[in-house]
Amino acid sequence: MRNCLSRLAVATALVITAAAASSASAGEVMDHIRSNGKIVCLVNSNSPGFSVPGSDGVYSGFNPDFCRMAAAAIFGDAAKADIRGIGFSDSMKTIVAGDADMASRSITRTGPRDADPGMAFVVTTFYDGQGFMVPKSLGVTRAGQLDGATICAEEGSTSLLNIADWFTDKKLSYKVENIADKTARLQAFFGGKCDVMSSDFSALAADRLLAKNPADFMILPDIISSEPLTLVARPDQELEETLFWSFQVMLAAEQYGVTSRNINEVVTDLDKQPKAVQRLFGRDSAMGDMATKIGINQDWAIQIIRQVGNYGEVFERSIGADTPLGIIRKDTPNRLWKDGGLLYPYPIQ
Amino acid sequence: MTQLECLPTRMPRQFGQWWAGLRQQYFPTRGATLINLLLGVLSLAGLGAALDWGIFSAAWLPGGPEICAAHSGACWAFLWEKWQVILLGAFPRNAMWRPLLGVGVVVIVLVTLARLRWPARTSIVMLAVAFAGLFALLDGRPLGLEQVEMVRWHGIAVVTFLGVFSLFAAFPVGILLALMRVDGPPLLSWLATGYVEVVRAVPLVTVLFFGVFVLPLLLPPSLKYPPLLVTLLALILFNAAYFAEDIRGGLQAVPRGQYQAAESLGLGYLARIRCIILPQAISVAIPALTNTIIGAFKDTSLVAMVGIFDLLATTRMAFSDPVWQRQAPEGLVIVGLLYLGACWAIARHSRTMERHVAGWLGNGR
Repeated sequence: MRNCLSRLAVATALVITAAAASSASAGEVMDHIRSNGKIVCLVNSNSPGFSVPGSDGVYSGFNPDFCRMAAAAIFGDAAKADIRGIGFSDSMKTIVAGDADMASRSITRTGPRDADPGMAFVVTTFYDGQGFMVPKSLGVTRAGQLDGATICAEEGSTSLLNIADWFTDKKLSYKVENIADKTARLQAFFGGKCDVMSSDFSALAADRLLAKNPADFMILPDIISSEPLTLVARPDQELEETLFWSFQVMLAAEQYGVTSRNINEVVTDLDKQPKAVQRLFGRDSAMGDMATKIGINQDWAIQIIRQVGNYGEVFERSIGADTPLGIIRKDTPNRLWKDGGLLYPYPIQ
Repeated sequence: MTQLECLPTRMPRQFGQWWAGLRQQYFPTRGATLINLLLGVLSLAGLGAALDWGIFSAAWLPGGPEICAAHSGACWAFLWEKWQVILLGAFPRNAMWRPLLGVGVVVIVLVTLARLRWPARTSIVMLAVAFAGLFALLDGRPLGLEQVEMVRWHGIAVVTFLGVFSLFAAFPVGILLALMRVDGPPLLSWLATGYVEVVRAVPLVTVLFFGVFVLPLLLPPSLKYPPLLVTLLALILFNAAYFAEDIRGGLQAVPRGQYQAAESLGLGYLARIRCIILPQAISVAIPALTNTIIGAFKDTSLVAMVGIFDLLATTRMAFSDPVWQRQAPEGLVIVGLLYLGACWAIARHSRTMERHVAGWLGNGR
């Protein structure tokens, strides 16, 4: 029922905004953010590693860090992000209704969603995709060896379609156990009712932790669908540019080895740094021009790296190999282009 | 009611020997003996397992998630770590005393009024003060404190705000609707009937969705309102319809003679209703009203559908912390116990009220 209702509400909302949102504006939203003194940013309320309030009630994780990135760029103060937890379909409605400025909420960028005039998809922060988790005792290391397997998957989700497509294309036989409830599905899998569990690999990483002994289970490297999880903004040229280029700064900083720990030394010794780093953190360069034109903080690149960190730091801090989630970055597309991943820093010069 | 067929035909059992009574009650036939023994063993085993999980094998002391692994039972260290998240979600911690005090005041007011058996004027004044106090404490601005926006009112703050006050605000509306329907001129009666039937036929979630997501898009941007207030309004309108039906049942149980007697005393309409009819009608309706109150109180968790974080949602937040993910059962058990406690208190108070009114209803037991 929830899906039907939320779809109805979204559809209604979209029809109405489609009529109203003909005035796509340059800077109106940004003016509003500046005069508010904070940027309202939507995140998941209970997604382990990606976004969850800590015991102190403050949201932390991979996704909130991009809210803080935006606040650091605009105000020079990451704490000026007003981070609010919200459900998935509600988050898009809230953006469309104009009650939030941006969302860093694991929202997959798809064609129809992008076509909505009330939302602007800006830049992909995490390349997710559907994968498989198996018990190590099964002795399988590639998804191609899963012939005849029984697969636990979520009923009524796109993951079932992805499985059907993939197995049919590979001419492998399989059986599906449809279980809608997540806890029940995990119990069926850990209890041995199915050989394989399939969902987005970031979710599998969290699910694996719920096993009695997580080391007994592994996530196969094969990814069978694309889920580019993307930052969403209220349509506004200045805001979109801020988010896009702030993210590029985080990628470039990683590329050049600048982190939140060494940023102060880098900035004090800027003359001795490589030219690219000088351009990235110098005030007199293209960065200052950009800041003036978009209307953000003059030393925005420095503030982002100092207060939030580069992309690699953010990744490793919340969801990387040393966290409970234990996502091994080199097994995902979320690496820099130079390391064979999909993250390609755009030039700021 | 002294017709012959209603007199007891058997004399009450004598409890001369306790085992005779026991035998007669639990082991009268072979089949019943078997079933009762089986059920008895099963419930003892269940109770044993529950006690072992919750008490004997549990980790009681505060600590990190690693001590949970050392215990086979519940890990209450989770509660030591996360009680603030479960109760208040993401409410700013430096202002945490505000919701705790506010909810405490509301609970004290409710208990006091329950002890006083709900004297009308005192109740209205105290509830209004409690509501204003809770709102002021949560929001902060009326007291000159830092504002906490409604989107951060989570957990017990929002359950109290919505659950308690939607019920109290709905009660007078429900009475009015019931009187309109039973006693009003045809037009008002039809209106009340139509309202009740429509509201009961529409799912609450649909109205919440419409109010929170669709209506703001239809209104001009200057007419923005916080989702929490629409939700409160929707709950009031819904609960009023259900209350109206409960009270209508009570009104119909008041004998016609009571109306006529009140009229012949020369009382005006309002006095008749207020002093003669309603006290009896509401007294009769207590069990039905209790039913509605408990149902509506639990239904407040439906607001999670429109992105308001009730107790269940905050508990989810608590066990979504990557290192505490295994503690979902502990969190859910605690929320279950909180609701159980609240509903049990309501039910107990309703029995007290039933006994209290039994005297003047003339059907004392």
